[in-house]
Amino acid sequence: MLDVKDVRFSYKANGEDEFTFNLKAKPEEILVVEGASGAGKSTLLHLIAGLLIPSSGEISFKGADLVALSPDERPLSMIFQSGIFQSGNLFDHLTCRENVAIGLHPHLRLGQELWHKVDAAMEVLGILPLAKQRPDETSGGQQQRVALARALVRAECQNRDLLLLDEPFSALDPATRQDCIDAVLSLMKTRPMTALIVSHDKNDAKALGATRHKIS
Amino acid sequence: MNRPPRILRPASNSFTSGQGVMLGAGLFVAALLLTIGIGAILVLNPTGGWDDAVDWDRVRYALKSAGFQAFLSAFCSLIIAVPASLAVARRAHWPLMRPLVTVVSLAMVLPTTVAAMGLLAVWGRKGVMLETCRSLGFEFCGDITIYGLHGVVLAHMMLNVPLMMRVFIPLISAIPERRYHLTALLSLGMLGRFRHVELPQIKQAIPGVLSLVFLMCFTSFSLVLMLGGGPKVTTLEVEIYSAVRFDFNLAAAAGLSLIQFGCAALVVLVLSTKAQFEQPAPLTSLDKTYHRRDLGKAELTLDSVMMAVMTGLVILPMVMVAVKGIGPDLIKVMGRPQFLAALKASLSVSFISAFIVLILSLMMGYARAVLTIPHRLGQRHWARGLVALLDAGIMLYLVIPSIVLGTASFIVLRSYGDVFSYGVAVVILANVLLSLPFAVKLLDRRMAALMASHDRLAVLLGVKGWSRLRVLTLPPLKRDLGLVVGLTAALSVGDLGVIALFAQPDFQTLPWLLYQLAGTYAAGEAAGLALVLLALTIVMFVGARLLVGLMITLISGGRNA
Repeated sequence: MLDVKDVRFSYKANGEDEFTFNLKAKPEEILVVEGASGAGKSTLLHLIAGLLIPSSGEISFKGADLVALSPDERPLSMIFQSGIFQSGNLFDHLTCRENVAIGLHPHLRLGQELWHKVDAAMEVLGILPLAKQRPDETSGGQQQRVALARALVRAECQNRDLLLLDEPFSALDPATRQDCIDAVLSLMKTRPMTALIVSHDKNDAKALGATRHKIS
Repeated sequence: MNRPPRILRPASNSFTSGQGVMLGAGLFVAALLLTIGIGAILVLNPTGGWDDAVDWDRVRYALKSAGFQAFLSAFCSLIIAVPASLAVARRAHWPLMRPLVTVVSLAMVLPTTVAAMGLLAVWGRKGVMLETCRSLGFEFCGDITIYGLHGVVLAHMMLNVPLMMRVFIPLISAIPERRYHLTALLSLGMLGRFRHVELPQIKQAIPGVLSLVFLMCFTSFSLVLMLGGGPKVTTLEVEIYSAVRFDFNLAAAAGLSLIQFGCAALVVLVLSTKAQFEQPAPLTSLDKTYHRRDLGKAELTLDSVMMAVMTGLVILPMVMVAVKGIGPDLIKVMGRPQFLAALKASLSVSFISAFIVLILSLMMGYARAVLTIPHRLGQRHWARGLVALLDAGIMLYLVIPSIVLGTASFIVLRSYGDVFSYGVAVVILANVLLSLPFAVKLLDRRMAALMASHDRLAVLLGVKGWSRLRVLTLPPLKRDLGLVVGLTAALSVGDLGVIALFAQPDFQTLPWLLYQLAGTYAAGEAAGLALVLLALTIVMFVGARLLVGLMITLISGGRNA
């Protein structure tokens, strides 16, 4: 399970406007993180991922302490808020398949077996036909699916069973939004994970069958 | 709203050792460049006093001549470049437009010696124009000569109109279609559209390109030497050259170099307060097709005229170089013993310069990106000082003309034995230093954008060090690096600058050989050599880009950008 305990963080050098976070999530639980603008929802996810460093507090997952680990050593995947910079989650010059594979090996040197896993994950998310295409040739919803497929193979092959989604649906039109929620659900069905999803929309929690967690 | 994470500091490795080395290396190179540049200026202290060394009347005359010539060249280039850019941008579908654009972009790397030969082939005494006139019975044409101020200005236009067009065309192409619809609806007409739609779009770039072209023509050397037609048309560069080569008066050369540096610095300083040096962009934006309903007969006439002008000014001379070059003399000049030696020297200078520029610009571009991006080091106050150091090291060479650098090297190396034995090294040094400003400018924005969009994800996925360089950084930069290397290689192969000071029988390059031949009666051989040099420039420009692309593809394991 995920345990965030008394984690403190401030963007300012003098420690003003400090955030304090406390949060628990059960294994395989989907938690929708809600809160007003500026409450620090995104900050919380960045702290868990290790992209920001807390001034104090503990973060553990499955009993292991995360704070001492570098971001790539942590057993998690994160999908950033997509919006103006659509490609924040993908590398534009790599194909969709390579974008999934780079989650397993930085040099993209995968054995036969792992490439099969990559293809299987893309199959689950319905993007196998896009394998050879580049992100800018696909739609916003398809790009989200590529990023989700990467999270799926990282969970299956490397047991990175914590999924952080930073407002994955907020920049999408209604149809694409439903499409992405379906994608998250089929991901969860294939590989149940602990997921933290930042969202503004109350309906998302219901659609995902998620627990709601409010931060202030 | 959620704040963007301002500090990206992964827990264990805020800076990998490789990144630290790259940053350190970039800064070290900048410091080295600054030392060389300032050292060069300090060395140029005329011994025995200024008044003995420098003939002030001559200096005043040279400044006046160069200033007038550069003003005329820059202004005439602008007058042609603006309507020509408009024509190219709105007539992208014309059948001859593609080849025209290709040739125009080649003109940017055209060696000055070849440009001069091309102009002579068109307007010279035996050129096509006058031959045609004579055959039509206009005998008085025999008295027209290309040598003189107008020849120099024409040659400068041939080289600089394409440069300006490369700045203007992307700006014009960025005008949204709606503005043209509005023009048609309001029936603004050609002048109205120019005033309210096109001019506002290119206005901010004009001071920049104008000053850049002015500076380049003000410090022009080989074209003035070849087309000036005697001492009447001159620049300080030419004066420095003759002080070193003919009078062997190093004190005078040093004094003149210092004056030249001062003038160039002044021009840059005065104009940079108002102007930004615009970077010529690749002309990919032409692929857009508009449905223009605002173009009438006036535009059709103007555009046709501009196409004809561009053909006569840029394309015809290049074609004539090819036409005049083919012949028995082509074989003869290639059989000369100096030819092979010069070819070898030119190729090695070009390859080595391009390779060094590639490495240095990558390091400096990286260092600059790291120091400016907020989530890296951009928020530290000391970073700003280091960026200033980097910029100073690079931009210093915009105001140090290559011949000034050459003179300083000449003076320093004199106390270390035979000056001429260092010729190759000095020529390479000059090529590298003069190519770096544009190379770094071309790269640093791209690298910063790349870093900004990749950083978080790369850190999360643990792609770092060598794997990040080969998988994430190099492939997207393929085109830019190819352009940097192609431009440096092409410019180095055709440069006639420092070599003029250091050439001697057993070290000469192709442009120098061409200049020598053009001055003798071996006109046919000179024409042949001009063709060889033109072909070689194109091969270097295109070949180097392909080579870089291939190298990056190999390194990155077959991934394309």
